[in-house]
Amino acid sequence: MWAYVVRRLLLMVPTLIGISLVNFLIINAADAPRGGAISPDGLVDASASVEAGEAERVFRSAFNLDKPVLFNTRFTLDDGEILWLVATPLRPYSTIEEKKNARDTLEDYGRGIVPHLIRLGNAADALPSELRSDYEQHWTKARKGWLKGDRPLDKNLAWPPPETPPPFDGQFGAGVLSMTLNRLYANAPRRPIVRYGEEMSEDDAAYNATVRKEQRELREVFDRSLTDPTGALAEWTKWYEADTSEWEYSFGDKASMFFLDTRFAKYWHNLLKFDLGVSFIDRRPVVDKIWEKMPISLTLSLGSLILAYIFALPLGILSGVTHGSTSDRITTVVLFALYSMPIMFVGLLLRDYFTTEWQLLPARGFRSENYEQLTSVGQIWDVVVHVTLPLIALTIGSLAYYSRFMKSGLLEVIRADFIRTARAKGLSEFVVVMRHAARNSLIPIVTLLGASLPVIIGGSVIVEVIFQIDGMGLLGYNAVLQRDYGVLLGLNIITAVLTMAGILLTDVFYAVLDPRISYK
Amino acid sequence: MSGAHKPVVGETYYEIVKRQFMKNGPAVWSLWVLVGVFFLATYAPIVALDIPFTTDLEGVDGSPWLKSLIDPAVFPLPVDIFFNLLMFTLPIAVAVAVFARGRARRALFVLWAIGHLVGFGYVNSIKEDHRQPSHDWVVEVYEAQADAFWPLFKHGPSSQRTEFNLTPPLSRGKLRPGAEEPPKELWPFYVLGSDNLGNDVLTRVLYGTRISLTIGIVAVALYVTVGIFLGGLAGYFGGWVDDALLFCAQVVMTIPGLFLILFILSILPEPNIFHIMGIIAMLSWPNVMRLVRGEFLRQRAIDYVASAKALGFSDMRIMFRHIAPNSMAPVFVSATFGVAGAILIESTISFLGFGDPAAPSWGQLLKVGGENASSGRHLVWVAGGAIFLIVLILNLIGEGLRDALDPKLKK
Repeated sequence: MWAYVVRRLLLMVPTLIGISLVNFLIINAADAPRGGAISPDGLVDASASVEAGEAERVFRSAFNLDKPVLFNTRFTLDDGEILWLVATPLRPYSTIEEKKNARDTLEDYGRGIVPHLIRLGNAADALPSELRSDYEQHWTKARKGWLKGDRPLDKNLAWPPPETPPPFDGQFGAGVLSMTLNRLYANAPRRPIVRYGEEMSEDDAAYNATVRKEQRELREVFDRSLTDPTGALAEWTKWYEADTSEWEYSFGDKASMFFLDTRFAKYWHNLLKFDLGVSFIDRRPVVDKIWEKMPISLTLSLGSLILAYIFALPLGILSGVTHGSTSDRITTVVLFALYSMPIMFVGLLLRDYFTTEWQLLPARGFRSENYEQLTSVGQIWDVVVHVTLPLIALTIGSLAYYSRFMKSGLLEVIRADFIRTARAKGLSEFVVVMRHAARNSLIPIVTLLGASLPVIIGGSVIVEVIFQIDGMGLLGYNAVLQRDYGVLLGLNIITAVLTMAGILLTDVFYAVLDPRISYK
Repeated sequence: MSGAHKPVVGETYYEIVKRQFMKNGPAVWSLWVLVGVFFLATYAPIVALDIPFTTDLEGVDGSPWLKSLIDPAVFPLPVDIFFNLLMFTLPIAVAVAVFARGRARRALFVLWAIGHLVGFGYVNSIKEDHRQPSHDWVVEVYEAQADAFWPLFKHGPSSQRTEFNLTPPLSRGKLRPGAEEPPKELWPFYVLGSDNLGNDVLTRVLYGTRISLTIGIVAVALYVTVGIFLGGLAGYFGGWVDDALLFCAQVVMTIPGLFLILFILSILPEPNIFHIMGIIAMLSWPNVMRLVRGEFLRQRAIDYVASAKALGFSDMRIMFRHIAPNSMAPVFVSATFGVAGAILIESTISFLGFGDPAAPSWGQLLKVGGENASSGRHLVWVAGGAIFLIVLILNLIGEGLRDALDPKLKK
């Protein structure tokens, strides 16, 4: 038995990996609508574009979207590529798309391209010949794209674009220098460590202090770059040369960067640490947020399951025993109708009539506001009163399904030979049904439990939204409205784990119930 | 059993199943209701539209109604255009079903389907705006005192009359306090009440049927195709292919669907009904795959597969020309229940407010009803009742089909 449980637990690991992989793919798809600077309320806010840009940066680094997906080859970047990207806004033919892509790509490269930027800045007024030929090659490639696209609106521009880029004159050099300085300020400063909901260690605090000090110094350098670009560059160079060890990669550094400094690796690393990130809304760790909602949702799910079994089994047995009678026909029809009732329909009707119309039960929430002041019996009663309607809404469908299943199982068993034997022995009909038939038809219904778990956990979303119960479902619903991907990712992983645990329990239970099944 | 039910010698499998199905009263009735619902949805513009068939209004030639059928200003959704065309091509299909027999019938059906799809594609590519957005036929015809021949109800799927919002059923529009009183002739009557924007609920439910049926059928067609293909691969080849595909199915079945749906919807900037079909298909294929896999495992041990192999047929041909047609029975049953399930998922998504905002679906009406506690109760009943009814009849048909296909019951 224990060996079976252990084996099942081990088998859960690949499933869990698969589920995480699905979520990884979705997170990667979230990459697509980038740059639509979306503020937390979901509106595009042009006035706060700097803030929105920063929010997006935080979002991207939270999910490591600024890293390459599978393999990181950024240590092979050369000055030519960076020059091409940095100089994108200087080219009149660059499309908006190109400018945006260049900005985003440079943003993603982060601190790693500081040496390139320093070198480029220092070489800006007299570019070495290999950089020039690199630039010309890029130009030839990009020109094909420009020719396919629309003609720029500016009619003074030569069209078609010239075969070679404009000369690398002083104007171009000054442009590159100013772009480089901007980029340096955007990419070079380290970011402070941000932790919410937990104490910051002393090391972290000290690190943050140095980072903040450095940020202030670099800010001063940046402020000078408009008035005195060369002077600013000299400062940057000095700052860079003070400690270049960070950018000198050994072979081991490169190997670990190649494999580990990627979205994929970081995603798994965080999952294994059970670190699902922070919510974008209140900056609290996702795991904590979900953890505190879980008891509420589990009360609903488990309560619904228990209710369903308590009512479904007798109903199914009764209906099976009286098969063909009028009462059975009515039960069957009613159960079938209930089975087809959408949860939201039942929920809305219950809420409408029992709370608004007749004012019998509280309309929303899991407990009253004065919950803390109630006696313990009062507290239990309070919760019961609050969950009655949601539980009914959640249970009706599965109740009908189970009892239909129970009935057909019973009908199948009741034709079996051992039932005839039991009757022939002269046992009473009650004993025949309850001890021989019903117990044997119970087994398949236990397996339903595993299959219905995802449905019940999902169904709680609807019920929680209708009755405004502050559980995981409502959390997920609000997370969609607020585009809080971290919470959604966490919910997906955690509910999947819950489901798997439920399925495991079902299987173990099944094994206990049915001694014929051996799990060797 | 009496002689009337004795199997006829030479009866085909299809005929046996049909005979068994016909014995199931509720299932047959449900099938007829479904056909009725389908026809109603198809001919919705004849039942309810705020554009006259004909009018002698000055400067109008031809039928404004006819022109509006391919007008994106009136019908922004391709689904509606599809059904509007179906109004004209459906009689052809019915005629084929009634008059043609055997092979000719099948060939004509295929021709009809291709013709309809090509026509739909063509209309979709040429459709242009025939109507100014502010053009209101009801008001214009009234003001010009012109004669007009109208559809049964003068309400469009999205002809908002916000001054009459949340009117109870079977009553004239309930004027919002403070709104300007319209002339008596323009005061609308709402059979099933109006929603929060003053849309006629009956009209919206009618047009919502189109969306629900389309989403149900297309999503199921999508995942049944995927399921048959993958299930066939798994069952036919076995080994690691089987293991890998079963593992994928296991993963998808373990994820609580609604949370995954929420996650996917949150990353879609503007979900439309095709996204929703895709999401439903993505979550539902494992069921079909496992069914088909089981059937393939059973069938591939039977002699006809061995003889097909001996004849040197390719694997793909054996799988999809020989085994697949023999393994379709459970898939049909599962697909019927699947349509009901897909409609439920779609209305859940719309109910939560994450559906296609342009599509007047039932779930959206339910959401509006839920937001307006007592004044929107008729919305809850009508929209919820519509979802309930369609799910109920689909489940009844599925039951009937399952019983008819069940060899244990064959007599």
